[in-house]
Amino acid sequence: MTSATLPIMQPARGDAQARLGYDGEHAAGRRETKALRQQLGLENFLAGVERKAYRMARIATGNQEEALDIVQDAMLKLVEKYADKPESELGPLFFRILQSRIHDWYRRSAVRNRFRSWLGTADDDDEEDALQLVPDPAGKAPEELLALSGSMEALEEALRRLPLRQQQVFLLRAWEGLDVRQTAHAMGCAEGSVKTHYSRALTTLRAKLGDHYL
Amino acid sequence: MSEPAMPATQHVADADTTAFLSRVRQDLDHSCAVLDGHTLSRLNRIRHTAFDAKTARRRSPLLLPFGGLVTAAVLMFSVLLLNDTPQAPLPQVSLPQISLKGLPAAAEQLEDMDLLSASEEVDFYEELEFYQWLADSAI
Repeated sequence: MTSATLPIMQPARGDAQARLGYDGEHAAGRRETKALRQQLGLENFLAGVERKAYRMARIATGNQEEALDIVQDAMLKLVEKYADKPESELGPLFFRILQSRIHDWYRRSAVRNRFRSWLGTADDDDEEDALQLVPDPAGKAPEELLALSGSMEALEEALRRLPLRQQQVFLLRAWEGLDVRQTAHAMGCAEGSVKTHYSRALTTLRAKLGDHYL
Repeated sequence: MSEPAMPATQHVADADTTAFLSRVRQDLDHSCAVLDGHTLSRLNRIRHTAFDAKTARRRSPLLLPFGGLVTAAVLMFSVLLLNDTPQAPLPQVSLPQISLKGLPAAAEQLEDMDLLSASEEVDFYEELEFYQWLADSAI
């Protein structure tokens, strides 16, 4: 009986190798499945967040092409560097990259505009830039826009008039729903700064949009 | 007496803030929902571009050995070309005529560069005639 069961209990070397080969293929298959699942999760995440990211960049830059470029940079960076991160971490990571890109754009625009003002050169093309986003004193105030058209235009205008940091903090906290810690991580600043920026932004927006916004 | 009024005011302010934020979120969500087709198409393309770029980068390590081979081949070819290029004749330098007769065969095969680079044996070469005479005398 023992000799009869021996081949089953102790498989021959060739069987063991075959089994190892099978296990190796199985492990490779599992790795591939995991990678595919991660990619699918990442794609779903980006598909779900792309509109919001675009709107945030659009409000910050006031320019469609610039906003799309910023979103593209942020997506490329996320996919390149953080594709293996769990889905729960993707949100704060993505918005950190996005806010960083927006901040870079803002700095570049400020430098470009400073040089233009020093050189006294006018911008010949029709591109919008940060200088064009400076509120026109003769332009319509958010309250007037609110009375004239939809509330979204008024909200967007009021958001655009906020300092960049306040605008970013407000959108991340109030719209994206990040908590103070996550927002601080995304903005690369202290939690106290987040609270201050958020409070000031909220106060300003409520003052600009008025109670009739409700 | 004024203490109970504070929480009530605070409560109203909180309720107002909550309603305000809810309205803000509603408007922002709506602005996303009504994005035009062109922008949506661009966003879709951007998302696919991000994944395509990653796939391309993931494939690139497979091409590394081929890239290395090509680089090595180009280097080899360059070295061969340089070696085949006819060298310009070196300037003639007048060296003292030294007879190597009688020296060991190995010494006769020394190259000019060896002589020049072997600075510690300059004295030996300067006294070469003496060593030659010494060798002849011994015989």
